[in-house]
Amino acid sequence: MSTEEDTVQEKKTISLKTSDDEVFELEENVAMEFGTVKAFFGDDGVPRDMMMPIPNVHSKELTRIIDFCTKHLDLKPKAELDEAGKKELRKFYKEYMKEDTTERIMELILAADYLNVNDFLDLLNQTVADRISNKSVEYVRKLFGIESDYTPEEEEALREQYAWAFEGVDEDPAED
Amino acid sequence: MMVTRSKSSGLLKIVEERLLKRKIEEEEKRAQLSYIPKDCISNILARLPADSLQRLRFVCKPWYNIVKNPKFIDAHLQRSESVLVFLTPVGKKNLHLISRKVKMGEKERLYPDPMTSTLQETRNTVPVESKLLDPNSLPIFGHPALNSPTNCVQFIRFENGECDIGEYSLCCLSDNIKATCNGLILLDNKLKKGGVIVLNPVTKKRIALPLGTLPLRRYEESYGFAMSDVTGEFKIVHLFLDELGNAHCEILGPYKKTWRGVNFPSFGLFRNGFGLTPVSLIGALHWIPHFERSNYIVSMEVEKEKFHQTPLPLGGGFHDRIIEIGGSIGFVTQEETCIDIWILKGLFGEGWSKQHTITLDTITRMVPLCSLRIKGNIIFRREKGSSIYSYDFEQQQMTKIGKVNPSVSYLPHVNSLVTWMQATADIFD
Repeated sequence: MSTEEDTVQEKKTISLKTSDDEVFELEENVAMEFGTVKAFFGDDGVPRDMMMPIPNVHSKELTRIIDFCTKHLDLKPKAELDEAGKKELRKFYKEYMKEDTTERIMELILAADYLNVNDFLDLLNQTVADRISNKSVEYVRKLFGIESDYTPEEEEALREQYAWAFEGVDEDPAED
Repeated sequence: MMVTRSKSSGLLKIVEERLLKRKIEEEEKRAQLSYIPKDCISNILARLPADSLQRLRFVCKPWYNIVKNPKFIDAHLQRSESVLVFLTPVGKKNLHLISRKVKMGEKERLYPDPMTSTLQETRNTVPVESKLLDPNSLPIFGHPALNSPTNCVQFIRFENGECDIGEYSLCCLSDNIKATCNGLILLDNKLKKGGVIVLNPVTKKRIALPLGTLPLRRYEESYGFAMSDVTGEFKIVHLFLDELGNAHCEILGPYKKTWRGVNFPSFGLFRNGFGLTPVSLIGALHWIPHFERSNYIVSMEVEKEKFHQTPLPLGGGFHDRIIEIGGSIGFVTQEETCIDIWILKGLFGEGWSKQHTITLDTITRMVPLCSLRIKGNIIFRREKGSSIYSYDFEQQQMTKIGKVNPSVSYLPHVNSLVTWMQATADIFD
């Protein structure tokens, strides 16, 4: 995926190469939202026309992260301006991750964490938190791929001692 | 026939292999996902409400260790929004029915049994006083406290411009909450003659402590609960009047279970009474002595245990209050349709500045209850009719959000995982 290589306007772009060997050209202001990229190029040092490898990130995730950062960069200054802008930003946060499975969100977390994209990471972490807050322990284990390291006896003892904590959970949802 | 059989078994084998491959892929994917960095897990968990954490900390031992870490507990506390905590008589609860029958003859479990309501699932309600009771020292029959009605601990939470009631699955014999601080509440211990209980209603961890010196007249005392900003330790501060009308102060810290007297300036600061429960900010406790026309506040530095007197910007009226606003002491005072909000710069004596004025449509008495530490709104209770309102500073709007019981006292609180002190044998789960 390559962004505009305008001949009219000279937009500064930064090149990133993903784990699946795809090269992305991003506008510099979008790329600088990635903390890792910002640190890589620094204030002086590495020239901006050098391609930065990001071997831990797949093109699928990068596409999405670029999408978020572009839209977010557009909405943020509007939100500082007036109430309507604030509302739009709130709506954006609310709707942006709606359609994604929790598994997909976790893949994005790994990528956003590696690239240090803090705003997106905040939204991703909050989305996961909202989705697990009323769920059972078993469901959360399955979701995160965690095997319980409690023995069956320990588990039973905990459930008895803290019976009140295990109540009031939502029914485990069907497979994501 | 031979050909067909080998063909079908060959097909079966292919299907099996494919299933196995998919299973391995899925497992690999899961394994990769569980390498979500610990920082991210910590970040996600810190966003969960305290009661969810009580359950989800048991997902696995690493998660348990994250949640019990004092740094995590503090980070979680900083993100948690204020609520109002209160007691409500069990009979008045419309969600759950709790039987008042006491199981006589059972030495250890002398508390009311939760009864299944036909509408709700069984609730495991924890009675605060259980485990605090010494089975050997109590007659089984006729204990006066056991015949009195119990109360449930509940809270009001404010979210998205609305409010609703949250549950702790806790009942207690005490009929008032004496003080609150950072997630801990102080209750009377009705089982032991004299005695207080420090309780975190979320974790249910509780500890019984001795009562302070009893004042001559029952209500001539005040309990405050505060945390030192230097050591992070909690202290309970008890002010009381002696038979001569002199005020005294004693303090109970986390490590010694006895009260010790503290130097208290004798300027007659509290000659007309102690006023309401003091406001606790990190590092200090603040009282407005006596409601009517008080023109100063008394503050105590928790760490140094020193008292200060700070004049108020104007005389306090009956419904004026000091509340914590954004980490500072705020003085909220109302005159006709104007509610002025003053903030005290620095903790002691640097002066007040008027931060904001709320103009109401009509002259109606609004009593400030607390401010929401994250959102910034101030919650008011209307004196007539007891509706509650939320004031949004950005929109400059006072919105009605619900109704409360006028005879119940609501104290500012936060649902957190803090504990009175590092785990000891005396703290019960």
